[in-house]
Amino acid sequence: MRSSDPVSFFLNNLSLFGDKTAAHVELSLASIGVAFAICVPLGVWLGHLHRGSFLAISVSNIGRALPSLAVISIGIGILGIGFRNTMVALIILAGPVMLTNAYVAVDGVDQDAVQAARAMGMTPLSVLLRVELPLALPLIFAGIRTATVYVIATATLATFAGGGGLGDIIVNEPTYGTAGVVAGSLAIAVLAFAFDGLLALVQLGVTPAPLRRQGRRQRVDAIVEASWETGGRR
Amino acid sequence: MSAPAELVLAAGGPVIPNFGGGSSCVVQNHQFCLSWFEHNWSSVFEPRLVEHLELTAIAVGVGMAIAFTAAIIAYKQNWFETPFSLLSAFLYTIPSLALFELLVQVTGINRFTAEIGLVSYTLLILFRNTLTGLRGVPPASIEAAHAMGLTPRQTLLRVELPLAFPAIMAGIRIATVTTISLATVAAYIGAGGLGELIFDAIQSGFKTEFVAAGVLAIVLAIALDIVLVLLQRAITPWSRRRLAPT
Amino acid sequence: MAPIGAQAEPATKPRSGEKGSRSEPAEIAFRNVVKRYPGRQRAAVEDLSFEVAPGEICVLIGPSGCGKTTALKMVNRLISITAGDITIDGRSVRELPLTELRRGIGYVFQQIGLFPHMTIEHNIGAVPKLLGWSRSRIRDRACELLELVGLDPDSDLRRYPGEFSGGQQQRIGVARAMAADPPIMLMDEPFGAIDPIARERLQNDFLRLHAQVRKTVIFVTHDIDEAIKMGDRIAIMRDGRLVQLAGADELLASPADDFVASFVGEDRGLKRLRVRKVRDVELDPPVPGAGSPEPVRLDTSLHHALSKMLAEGTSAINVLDEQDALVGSVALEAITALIAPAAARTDLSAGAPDGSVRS
Repeated sequence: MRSSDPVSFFLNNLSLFGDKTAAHVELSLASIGVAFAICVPLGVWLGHLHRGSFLAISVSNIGRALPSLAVISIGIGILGIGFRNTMVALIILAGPVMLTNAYVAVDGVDQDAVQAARAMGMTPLSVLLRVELPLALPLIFAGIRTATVYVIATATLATFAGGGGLGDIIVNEPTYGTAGVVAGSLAIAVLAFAFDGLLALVQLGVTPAPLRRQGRRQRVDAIVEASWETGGRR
Repeated sequence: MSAPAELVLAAGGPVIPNFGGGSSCVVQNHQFCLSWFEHNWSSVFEPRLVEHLELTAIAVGVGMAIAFTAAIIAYKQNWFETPFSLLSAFLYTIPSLALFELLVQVTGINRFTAEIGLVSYTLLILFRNTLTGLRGVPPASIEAAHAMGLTPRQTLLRVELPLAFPAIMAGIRIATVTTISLATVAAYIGAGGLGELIFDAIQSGFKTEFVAAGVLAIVLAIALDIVLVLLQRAITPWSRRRLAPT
Repeated sequence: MAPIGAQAEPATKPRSGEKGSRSEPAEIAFRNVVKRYPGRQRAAVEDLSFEVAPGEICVLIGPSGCGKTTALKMVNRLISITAGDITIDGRSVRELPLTELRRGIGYVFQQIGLFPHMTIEHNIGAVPKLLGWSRSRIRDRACELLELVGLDPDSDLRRYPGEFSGGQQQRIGVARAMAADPPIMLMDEPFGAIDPIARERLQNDFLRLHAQVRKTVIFVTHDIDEAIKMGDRIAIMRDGRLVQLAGADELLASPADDFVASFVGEDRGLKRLRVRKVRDVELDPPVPGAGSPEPVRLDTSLHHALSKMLAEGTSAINVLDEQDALVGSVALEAITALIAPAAARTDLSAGAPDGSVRS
């Protein structure tokens, strides 16, 4: 149904938006879930062993460089179109950030705390679960948050690969008109912000109180630092 | 534009761009036909690659000019940081296709619109990294510079900026790679570049084009990342020389 | 306007060293200097007045918060002066343009502050470059200074600060401060962050350097032993005020009040022994034969002489001069007489030719 302004378009097509948003979120969360299941335990494990730093950094560099549409494009070429195939592309895009953050988070846990725990007689598994993971959680979660917002945004492109989602509305001007396109664009923007905000709150909840004050600037600095060459830095 | 789900590979084969010479690989639409790729490199792929580089260079260049200036202002006048951060973070969070579509309503379907969008995405990371880099300069070096009689401007040019350079460079790397990614999407609103090939492929269903364009974009991104790393290492020799273990 | 160090000096000024320095050292004078921070009751520095003679090392020392670093930093206006004035060779620091003032002062501080992104040569050459020196002149100067501070110009000029240890970095810091041959140097706990062994070497090397180069130095420390070792004169500060300004021996012998007495330490008598030398004491005739352990020299500290006597269990030790000739012996009583308070001195000196000691 065509309307002349985005807001009325939205209001007149609530079920359309509902369906598309649901598909969008479903695709995103499914991809995140799989990427999480593969990459976070791997990253945590490598960080616990303090092994594979080169791997983690290379994965981070390459993963960060991957153009999203290009990955989707290759996915279409090799696997064809459809929900599952789009998921593969999104998993590939979401994985590196979570892997790297998990690795850096656990690898960088204060070694004094770990040594104290070992000296107390904790088994390695206990040390991991009771000391390392809680301390690493904020940074691990920052990775999950970054990846999730990234996937939500990139899932817009899933429309080109037959994955559905709000992208369907944005690219379909003949059917939905200019108002529709604008409404779709605004909807996806709002969705991205909503997830970012929601996860920010969860992140706050997950961060132990003493570390909260360090806040935004420290986290950005951490990401900036992680992206630097190891060169002259510690 | 109809959704790709409606594409059907008819018995007679897909509508392939007819650049002459339908080898069996092409006719059967295998995943990647090397001969076709090589044959059409200079007419199809190379121009788009160059276009893509241009798009990226302009976006990062303009973005750097804006973000760099803003970071220096924020470094000297702290209050400026929050508004600019919020603005650039806001722009960054909007998914690319959505942002491009919204901009199109204002400035039309053309390269200029695409550049506006691309520049917006670079602002956050360039601003953050430049500011963090400046703030990370060892206070002792700044105190020494002042005590020596360097003016604030001389201190900025000769001490603070050079020492902030690794962080600035890291930001440029991330911004460049991100822009390459977003520029592929920008083809949707007429920006050209490798994305255009992808959208052509969406029309035609020609797999080789999907794979080739995608791989080229990835290679471009990684290649530029490496070039920038090497550039950074060349310009900052001090950051790699450490005290020899005794 | 010529930089401070380039003025013609009257003939009464001490001669500057020939190696490493061609400019004349300057006199620094504090006149009723006050530093007050808004909202604070007590002034950080209150009515501070004293002079530092050209070529002298004056140490500022005191408990934390006494204002010593604030006073130092007002000389090059890293901290602004609230009231009063500081003059360098009679010229007020408040009137000189800031950059000109600072380019004529060498500044060395605890955190060192070498520029990590510049080679040693460029670090040292930072101020000369501002003054417009040619590249070759800067390089020659850097080589000269690196040798003076005990490093190797051939290998070290092209290196970066990160490749050196803390002690070496501070040596470079000193070289950098001296590069443009400023008539005065300000040093704010320069060796505080350096490990004790390297610190002692740095102190000795700096004193040796200063003997050659003779710049006027204000040196801030919180370590009384460092002050005694380094300072021609020592200024003890407390709560922003100058409590006593005197040479090391006088400070230790006659502390102005209980605060100074406790600040310099209960063992100030023993500390004096480090300052005074064998030549300061009346010598007895040499003690012949096996009773006397290995001799000391005229310039040996009394502390060292006493240590040897105690170790050997003797009460006298022979003394040699620069030509290795035996000139006499120094007795335990003479040493103790030196550090005894004046009243008790007459008791101790009973039996000696006279009770006086040369000072």
